[in-house]
Amino acid sequence: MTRYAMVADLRRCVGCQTCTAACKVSNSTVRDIQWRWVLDIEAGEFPEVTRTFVPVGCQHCAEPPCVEVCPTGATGVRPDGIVFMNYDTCIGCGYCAVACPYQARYRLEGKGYAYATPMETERNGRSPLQLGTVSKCNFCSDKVDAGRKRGLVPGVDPEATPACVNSCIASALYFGDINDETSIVARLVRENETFRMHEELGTKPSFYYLWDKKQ
Amino acid sequence: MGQEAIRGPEPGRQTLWDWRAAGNFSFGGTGTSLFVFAALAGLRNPDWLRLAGLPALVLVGAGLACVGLEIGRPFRSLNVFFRVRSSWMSREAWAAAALFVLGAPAAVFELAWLAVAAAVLSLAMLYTQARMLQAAKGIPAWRVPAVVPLMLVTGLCEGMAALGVGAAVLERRAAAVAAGLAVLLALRLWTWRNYRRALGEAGAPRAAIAALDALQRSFVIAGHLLAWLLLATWLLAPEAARAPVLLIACLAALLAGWYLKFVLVTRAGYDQGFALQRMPARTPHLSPAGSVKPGW
Repeated sequence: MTRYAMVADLRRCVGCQTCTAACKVSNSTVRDIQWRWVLDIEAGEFPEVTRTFVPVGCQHCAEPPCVEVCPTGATGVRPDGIVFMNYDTCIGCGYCAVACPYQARYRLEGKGYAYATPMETERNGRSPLQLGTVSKCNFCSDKVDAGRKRGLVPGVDPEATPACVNSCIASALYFGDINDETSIVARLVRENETFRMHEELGTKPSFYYLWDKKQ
Repeated sequence: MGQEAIRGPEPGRQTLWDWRAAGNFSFGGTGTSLFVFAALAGLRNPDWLRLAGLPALVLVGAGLACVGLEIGRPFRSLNVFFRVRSSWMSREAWAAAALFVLGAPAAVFELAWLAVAAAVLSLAMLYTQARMLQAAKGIPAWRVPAVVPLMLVTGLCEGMAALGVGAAVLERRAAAVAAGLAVLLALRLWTWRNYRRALGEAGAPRAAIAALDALQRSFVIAGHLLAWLLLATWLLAPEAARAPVLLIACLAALLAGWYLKFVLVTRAGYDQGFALQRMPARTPHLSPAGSVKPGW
């Protein structure tokens, strides 16, 4: 069965935030809401200091705590592993947001725009129907679904691939079906050392971080 | 999480559940427990059902009103009943609804046995609130299992303190209330220390630990030592001074419980932050630095 996953190669990411911008434009997320973003982590002490850029967002967990706690059924997991939101049912209680260990959920508040005049994405993103509800990354599921209907392969064909992956200038982000052994994500996970964030919490994320080639 | 768009990897304080969420835990915990004690007292003196049972329901209602003020789409709030299979918030909503259906007539018409049935639902609602906090996996200070007994005992302590306030104001016999409160205060202190130790063992963001440790002095001294001292004074005080002494003792215990929940929900509500199990090996086959977990 198909299970979509994302892979971030930490050796390649340069922290340019192009994925952040591409996500923002593609999904019309407004000010204060970023479904995809890149952390800048400095570690160590001089002179042994390292700097790592880490793309983060919804990890589309197989055991998502957000889904378990949601009192309305507004969030759930599709058979292909994508964790979705139903804005028509959400009451905006924020329980999913405090249950998510990845800080991937945002409530759309009625705040202002970034500048005096709203940008096009802000006009599109601040639908009155979504105000007060919680939103999150959906792996560009509309695009993935539409592409599949046209016979395209998510993760291979850009028209069926999430915007963040398409836009990555360093080929640090990959998307595909982790259960398909021939997919790029399955191959990368097979051939490299990986970890998933906060695995100890039992969430089984579908987001893999590569940190080295397998010895 | 908080609504900051750009942030670092360190844990940040969640802002979605603010004083209104804390209000639900405070008023709900006090109201449900007060109803339980009112129902027990009502078995001997049914007028307690109206005197304490009705205010208890008002408190529960106030807690739910706080939630109504907090959620983004209050007019859809009936959707909260949809996920009783997995969500403790749904279960809380059902328990609250059932509590009002049985508890309101029991209190208004002073029906003692109906009140006992409603008290069971009241306890169930208190339990759902405790589990609701623990199910929030993204907040290390909440997800520790020891938070459940802490929330339960704190609620019961507040309920008894609220009953004590009523007893002092109405100048009723209050020996049982004072004794019960003294015991519950001891239990609350024990569950607090147990929670704090469990949190230390499980690990939490430094800022969350600091917020809880800052609470320690006022919570333990004002909420327990002062309350015990006043309860001891109450035993020895002349008749005319007993009611005010009991009133102050109960208020100290009650406010300390509310303050604990406020701090736990808001100031100690730091999220998980981000962590790397391994740093990337930019030079192939050269062992990179180990894990990093900022803010812990």
